[in-house]
Amino acid sequence: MSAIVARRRPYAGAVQLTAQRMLNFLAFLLVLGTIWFAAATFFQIPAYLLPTPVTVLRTLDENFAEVVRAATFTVACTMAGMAISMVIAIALAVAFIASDRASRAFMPIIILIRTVPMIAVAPLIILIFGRGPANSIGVVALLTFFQIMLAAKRGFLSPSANVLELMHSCGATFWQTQLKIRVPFAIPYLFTGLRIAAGSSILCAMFAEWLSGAPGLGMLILESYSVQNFPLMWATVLTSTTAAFMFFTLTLAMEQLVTDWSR
Amino acid sequence: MMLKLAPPPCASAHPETGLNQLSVEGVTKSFDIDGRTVEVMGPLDLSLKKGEFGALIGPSGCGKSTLLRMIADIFPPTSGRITVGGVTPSVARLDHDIGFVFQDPTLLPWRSVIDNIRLPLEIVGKSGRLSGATPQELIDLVGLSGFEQARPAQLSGGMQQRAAIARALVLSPRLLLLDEPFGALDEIVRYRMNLELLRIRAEINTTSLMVTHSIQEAVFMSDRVFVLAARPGRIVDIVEVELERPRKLSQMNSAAFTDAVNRVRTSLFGEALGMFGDD
Amino acid sequence: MIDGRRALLPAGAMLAFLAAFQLAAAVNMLPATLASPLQIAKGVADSADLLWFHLEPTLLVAATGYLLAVAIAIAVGALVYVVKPLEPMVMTVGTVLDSIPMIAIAPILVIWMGLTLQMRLTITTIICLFPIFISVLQGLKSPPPTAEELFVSLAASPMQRFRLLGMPYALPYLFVGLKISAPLAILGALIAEWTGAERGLGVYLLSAMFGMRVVALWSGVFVACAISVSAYLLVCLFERLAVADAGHREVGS
Repeated sequence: MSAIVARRRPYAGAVQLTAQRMLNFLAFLLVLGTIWFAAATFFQIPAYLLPTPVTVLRTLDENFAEVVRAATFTVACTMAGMAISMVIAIALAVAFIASDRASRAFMPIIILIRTVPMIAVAPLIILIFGRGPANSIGVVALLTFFQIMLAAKRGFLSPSANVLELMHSCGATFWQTQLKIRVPFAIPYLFTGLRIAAGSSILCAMFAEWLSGAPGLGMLILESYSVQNFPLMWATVLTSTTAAFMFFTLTLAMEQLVTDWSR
Repeated sequence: MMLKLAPPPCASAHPETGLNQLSVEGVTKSFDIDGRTVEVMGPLDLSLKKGEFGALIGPSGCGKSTLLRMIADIFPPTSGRITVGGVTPSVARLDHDIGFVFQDPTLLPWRSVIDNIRLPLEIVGKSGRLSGATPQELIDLVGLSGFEQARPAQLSGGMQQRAAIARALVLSPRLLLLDEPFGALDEIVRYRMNLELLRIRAEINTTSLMVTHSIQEAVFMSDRVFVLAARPGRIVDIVEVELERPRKLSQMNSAAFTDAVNRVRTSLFGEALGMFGDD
Repeated sequence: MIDGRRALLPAGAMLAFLAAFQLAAAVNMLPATLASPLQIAKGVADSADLLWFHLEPTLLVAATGYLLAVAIAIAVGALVYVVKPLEPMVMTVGTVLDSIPMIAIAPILVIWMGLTLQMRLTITTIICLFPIFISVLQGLKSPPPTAEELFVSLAASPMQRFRLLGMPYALPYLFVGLKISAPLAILGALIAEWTGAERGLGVYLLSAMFGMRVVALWSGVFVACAISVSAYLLVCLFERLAVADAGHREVGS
């Protein structure tokens, strides 16, 4: 066995991962579609209730513009929400690293709040932010905030004692240590946190839309359901699942990229 | 006091062919690594008579742990034949005829010492052999009296290993396999444990095969030392140890001991010894 | 877990925070959509009967769904443990099902089951299931390799391996999953009610939201948070009691 492991191109891992997951997903959809078709035929479920996969795809094609518009809304809100929560989360994490007092004062509260699923607070967010995109962004931000903050904090604390002593003996200030050491060490943790947060963020955005009526995928599902346009509803469901899966895969790939890069 | 630990004569229906309790013939083992087939061992022949204590010693990569696991039926050899008490390792394992002591004591941390020793009895259930020694007798035998209710975390490494040995013996196996059981212990404790194991064996006389990386331990404990070389793993020498039993630490000064150790060392290192000057 | 002295600082911070809020309310600096701590407290006290009327079915659904999820997770975990080839398939199915939005599953379940208790139980169970299942699976894989070899050498049956080796090692991991899922069970019950129910905390919240009844909504959300945290702490307590004897390891979450 060679003692030196060959260094792969950093992109290779991420690309391979993405490709593999997309393939798995497509395979799953195909299998699901087949089972769906078989079950619908066998159990004679009325077509208006459970349309065939072909019908669903055709509906998707017909209403493409509308679905894409809704999807764009949802994804945009999600990304905005995550961006906002990242900024606040990282800022707070730095503050907690800087001041041990603040950390001891606020961390237990944050950990306790974390146990409350943020979606349960959604009606409150909707009340405060109204019916537009703001509440989707708010819900996503609130939900992803805790995950990202804890990941950032863990990342900032990850450099070994030896490295920190080295910086200290060089006379580095807090900010120098922060920027030169803690941030690079924290980046992989940050991306891991992003991945965990991303997993449910699109679904949360859709959730907020469902309750509030903002024009995204969630609302589209509700609308098509209420007018009994089931093919459209299923088409939207398919789109949202794909969007969530792809979003998650994107963060997984980014995490892989960063991990490979840091080797 | 002779403990009733030898396998009861009529408990198993397996006839013992010949005198060999353990027989390894022409055994090879290959692994698939990155698409290539790597032959790590073979062909290898080895045998132990009933009641014998054999030691396996060799450099890392010679496959001594692998061999032990093939005998224990944890995985099969690529080719060749292994018999334990006249039957295949699979039959022997399912019949609970093989006791295995790992390098790591591998006690279940949530069970007390006596419950750990009882584990094989629980697995075998009511149909198992009940005519061996009881867990309590074994605890006394290995010198853990008073620690029955202790948790593994409360015991030292040496004591945990004693419990592991007791567990390996609770079903009165025909063959006891030990994979560097004292490798993780410091030297002083190791001498003690060697004597302990010899004392335990004096009571029960189970055929044993022990892997070790200490030449002294190999010679001190065994009747025969099998010296292995690596790439591929094979036996290069078999050294008979002519020391009386019961063994005592003072025997380490005897000529017979030194001769055996030298022979093992020479076989292990070969011409390399010339580089450092022969002693 | 709760050390008297260490709780002082966060408790103090919390009180300061609440005091600041109350102060802002007192000088009318609070936006209309925010309620002051005293208002919330009064709201809870005044509507206590009504809140309990709605809380009861929610708690019932949450508890039942949770227990169902635990049972299913352990059962499927045992299956995957014993029949190893099933694992990749179960994992793929599980991950994809986990990424299907609940908003998509909810209407499907309504079509299938109608606005019934079964529908609400199903939603709750589905939401709790995955975290518990993942933890069980992770825990079942945690025994050291020599322990697995030990059980092979002892010729243990698959069920014995599960019972005597897998589950005890999985216990710390299982509790991590149980702790994560306890608040999710409450959430599941709420979502189930938002999908369609006549009575329940979720219904209360939604009606307060649509009716712009600020204090009622804040009180309801406060109660929801309180029971979520209580559920989590209850599981922590249960964990303490269940692993009371020494020899158990803690797994960081």
